Amino acid sequence: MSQAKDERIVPYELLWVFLLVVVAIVAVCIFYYRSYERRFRTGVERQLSAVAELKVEELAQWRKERLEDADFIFNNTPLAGLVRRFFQQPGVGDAAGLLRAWLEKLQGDRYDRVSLLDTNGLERLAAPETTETAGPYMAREAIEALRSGKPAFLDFHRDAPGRPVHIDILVPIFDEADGNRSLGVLVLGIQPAAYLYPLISRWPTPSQTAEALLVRRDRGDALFLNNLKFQTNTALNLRSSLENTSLPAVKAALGQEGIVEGRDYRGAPVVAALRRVPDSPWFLVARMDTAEVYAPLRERLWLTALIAAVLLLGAGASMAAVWRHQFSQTLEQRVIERTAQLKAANEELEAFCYSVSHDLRAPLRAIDGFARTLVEEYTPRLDGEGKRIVDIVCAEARRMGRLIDDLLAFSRLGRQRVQPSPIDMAALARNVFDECAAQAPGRKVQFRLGPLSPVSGDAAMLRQALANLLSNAIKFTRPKDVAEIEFGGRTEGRENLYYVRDNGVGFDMRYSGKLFGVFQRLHAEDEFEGTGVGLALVQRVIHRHGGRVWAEGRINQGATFHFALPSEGKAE
Amino acid sequence: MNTTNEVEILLVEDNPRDAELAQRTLKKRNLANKLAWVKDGAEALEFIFGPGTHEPRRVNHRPRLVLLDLKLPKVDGLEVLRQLKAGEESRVIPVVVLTSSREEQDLVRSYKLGVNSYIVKPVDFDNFSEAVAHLGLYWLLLNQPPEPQPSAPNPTKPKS
Repeated sequence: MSQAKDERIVPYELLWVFLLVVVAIVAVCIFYYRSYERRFRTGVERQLSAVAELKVEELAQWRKERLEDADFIFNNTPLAGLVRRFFQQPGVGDAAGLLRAWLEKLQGDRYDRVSLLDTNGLERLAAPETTETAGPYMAREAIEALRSGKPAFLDFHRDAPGRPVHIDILVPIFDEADGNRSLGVLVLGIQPAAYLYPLISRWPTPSQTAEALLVRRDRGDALFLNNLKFQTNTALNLRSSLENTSLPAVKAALGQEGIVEGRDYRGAPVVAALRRVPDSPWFLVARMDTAEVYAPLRERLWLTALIAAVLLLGAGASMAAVWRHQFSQTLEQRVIERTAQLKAANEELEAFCYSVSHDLRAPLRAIDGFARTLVEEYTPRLDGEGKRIVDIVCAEARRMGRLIDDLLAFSRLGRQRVQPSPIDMAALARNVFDECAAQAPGRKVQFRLGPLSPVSGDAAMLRQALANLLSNAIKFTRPKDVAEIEFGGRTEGRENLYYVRDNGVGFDMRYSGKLFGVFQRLHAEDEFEGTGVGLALVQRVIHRHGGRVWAEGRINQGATFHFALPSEGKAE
Repeated sequence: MNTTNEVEILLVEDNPRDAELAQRTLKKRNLANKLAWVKDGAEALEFIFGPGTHEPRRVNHRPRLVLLDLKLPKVDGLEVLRQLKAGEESRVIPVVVLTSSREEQDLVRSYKLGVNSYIVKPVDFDNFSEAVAHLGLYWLLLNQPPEPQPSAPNPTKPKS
């Protein structure tokens, strides 16, 4: 039964409940986080897509406007006439002035430079007017445009290494009136740094890492067309092999569209939206570092983990509280059971002692009684030796009687309740000493009684303890002509210390550990009589009062027995 | 009325050795001339009240002293004491508990039941015989018992 009770201490049901709660909390948190993550990602992707879409639209619009400009010039007959006049008679009339004004108007704020080349590709007029003239590259392209007979869009390029990046629109001008004779080429020069690059790289929301970039395919590579946030001078310089497909830019150049993940030109993981710019060789990449994308997500993860931890802690604490409650109930139950068991055991012991005191003493009484009767009634037939032997029988029977009595007294002491009352130690010691001294007539005993603190304790028990200590002192000073016995004490902290000192035979400190054991004796029976229970009894009394007891002694130089009692009388 | 004073001491003792020692001691002091010895509580009750178990009982024998051991077969000493002290007539009989038990509870219960004296049998024969002899002397010679009063008021058995 108590076995079953013991097992209840381990709260298996509680553990299971706790595990279930833990699993539930973790599952809910994971589910919540996952769904949040999904929503968040969708949001980020939508943002990237929207930005990419916007950029593509702007770029497409921009291209469209440029091409419309080109168309407008291409089909402009008055302009062609003006150009013809300018080339035929540059000094006559105001053709040059008119044309210049026209060019300036066209340049406005949309083009960086508008120039007019002749059929050989030589620049004849420009707005704004600068010393800078078209290089051989431009001349080549101009002639090519005249040959093809339609406007040409020269994508991002450099006239020569080290020159700024350009986009040029070349519009060939033909004289319709003269059988479409080539007159020259109008070049609309655009420096992307002024308008186009900012248009690309501008990001609509605040972001540390987000950027848009433009690439086109250039032989076997993806060529970056604009300058980048994290690397300088990349326009038309940075290229990446089309085989390097982890780059979103390469994916874009290969025609892929939508959301991709990969590593960018720095090697950093990124999320990117890819779009092709319609009617152009351009591919747009709107990208953002994964770290930045997921930063709020990580925050949310920590928050979720924190909430989970708090919930788990709460669950743990409440489980612990429930467990402690159950445990304390079980403990209480156990205490009740143990108390009952102890009580039963005590009752058994009491019954045992009862029968010991009754049954064991009866035969001893018979031995002593009949042996004595033998001596008294058969004296004539017993010689000296016979009488001595019968006396031994009697003495031993009586000794055994004393042993039993002492043992019973000792055992009774363990069962008795301590009933504390205020005790005048000096008066008690004096009283007990007088009684003990009365049993040793003819002895010269000097008894010194020091000032003693009163104490709270069980009067009967303490009397018994003092009786044993003082009678011991009287007994073991027997060889001395004058026995000196001192009972003194002092208060130290929360303890009252007392001692009984004598000038008797003392003892060997090596055996001091045996002093307080039951039936432990340090002297032969014929030297000093006794059962060996006295000091054990003293110790038990003092312990029952919550005190301590110890002894000091040297052979033939007396012994001191100390005991300490709690001064506030904290018995049991 | 069957009361007699023939027996002066009733010794209730299951241990024959203790009984013999007690008898020897009493005999030595000439106190055991009219001593009856019974070995258990049932016999003791029968000796005093006669056969039958209903209470209250008429006293059959009225010893001048009952020496009563506590630990007895059949009916124990405390029960014998209770019945003796419960009877209107028997309660005047002096009862001395003579026992090996030093247990406080026995002492207390005996006194509560109205014992006249409580002696712990010592192992030491000298002390034992001293105690027994003193008891005999005191209760038989010195103590003055009340005269038997057959007409003592007894609501259940009024004397006519």
